[in-house]
Amino acid sequence: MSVAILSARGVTKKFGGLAAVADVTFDLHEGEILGLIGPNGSGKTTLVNVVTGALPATGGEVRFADRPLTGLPWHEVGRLGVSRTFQVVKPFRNLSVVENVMVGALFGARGGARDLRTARRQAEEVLAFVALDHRADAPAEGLNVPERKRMELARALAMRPRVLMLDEVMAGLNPAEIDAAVELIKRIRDRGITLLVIEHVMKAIRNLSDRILVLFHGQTLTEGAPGDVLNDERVVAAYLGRRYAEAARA
Amino acid sequence: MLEVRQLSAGYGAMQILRDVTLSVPAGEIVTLVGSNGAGKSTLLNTVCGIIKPVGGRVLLDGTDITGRASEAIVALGITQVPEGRRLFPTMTVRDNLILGAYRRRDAKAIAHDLAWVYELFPILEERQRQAAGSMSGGEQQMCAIGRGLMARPRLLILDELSLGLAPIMLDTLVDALTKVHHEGMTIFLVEQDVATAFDLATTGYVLENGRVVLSGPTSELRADSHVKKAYLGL
Repeated sequence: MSVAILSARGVTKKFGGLAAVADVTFDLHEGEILGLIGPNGSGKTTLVNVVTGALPATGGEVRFADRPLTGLPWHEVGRLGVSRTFQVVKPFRNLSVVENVMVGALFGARGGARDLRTARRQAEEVLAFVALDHRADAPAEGLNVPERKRMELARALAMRPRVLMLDEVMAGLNPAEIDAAVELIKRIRDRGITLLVIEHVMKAIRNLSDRILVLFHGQTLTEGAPGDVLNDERVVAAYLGRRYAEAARA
Repeated sequence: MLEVRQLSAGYGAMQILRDVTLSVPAGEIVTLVGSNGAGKSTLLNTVCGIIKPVGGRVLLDGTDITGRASEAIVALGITQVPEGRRLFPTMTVRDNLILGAYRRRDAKAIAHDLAWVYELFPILEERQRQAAGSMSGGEQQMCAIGRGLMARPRLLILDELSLGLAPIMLDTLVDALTKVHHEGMTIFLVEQDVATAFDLATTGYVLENGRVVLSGPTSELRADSHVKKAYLGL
């Protein structure tokens, strides 16, 4: 029986009268990659925002390594070892790539860098891991789409997380770039980091996920092994669509 | 309708496009595929007058529009749905959509088109009074495409149509674009989701390092071994 490193129980987030996330319960098992899929607007990013403390929950509870996470300020969540990437990457424009990643190293999990020299060394290591070290001193603004995503990933990794949540890191990548990103994420998992991956790129979800959680209108539709979930006719009807089903049959 | 002849362009000292020639015949759907950094957005920016080329020409229906201001190019009937949405985030969804039609004067047809966009994307109707920037990424993408459709352009250019969209939404879009295409709209699609691009377009161009390396009917490109390996991931 695998250990749940992070547990969400009845998580609800309302904006005015609208429940963006309604009563979502799930466990994230240590060492796994959990895929999170669902139609646009189904609450995936909002769920990650609430779990990581970027937004306060309206209801429910999140626990991480058996301590309460709900209600903690965002930066405390990072210090405990939970980090995430953002869909729209907004680097510090006046800083270089390595300096952006150093921010992650300096404000990450407890025990991390507290001086600039250590932070730089750690940032350089992470940049080498994501194969972006050749751009370390480039201005962050000058990166192309795949590079920007790798920098964002590096920034989150430099925080030395135990749990890393990725929000659509594959968007805008072509199939060859997706393959490379999938390999990179697997290597992150091999380093002992537990992952939650939000994606619409089904090729990546299929290749990465140990389990998949499906949201629909803010609620859990289903959860389980990829083979079961991706063939579930409710998931096909709500999310995957006809062309996916045809291609899958081909 | 749109012809690009030996176009070279870039940003300052950095040359991105080298000698690019392609054409989008009236009434067709043409796609341009290529990796990130290959120059696809640079090409669109040059066609739409956002940057000026250093060489070559852009022609619309035989008229040279090279280097003309963007507003003049829009007035000629070209609309671009840019990569990354670029909605007006504090304006309502409805206002963003209506703004797409700002050059049009046919009020009844505009109302009809708005109803059609809401039919395509019911969530936009649901959220019509919400600030566009408060929606999810995928919902914003739908709004950006809806705004482009509201212009009813002669030539609709879509840059990364599929970005952040659920697979089922792509079905809706493929159907919608096929429909407007049958009604006479010419479409130029720049796209990373090569499978979707080839489903929609009859002709394709492959851009690598700023040059067109391959072109032809998408039925043939689909089977090309280089395309399969590099872009279809097969």
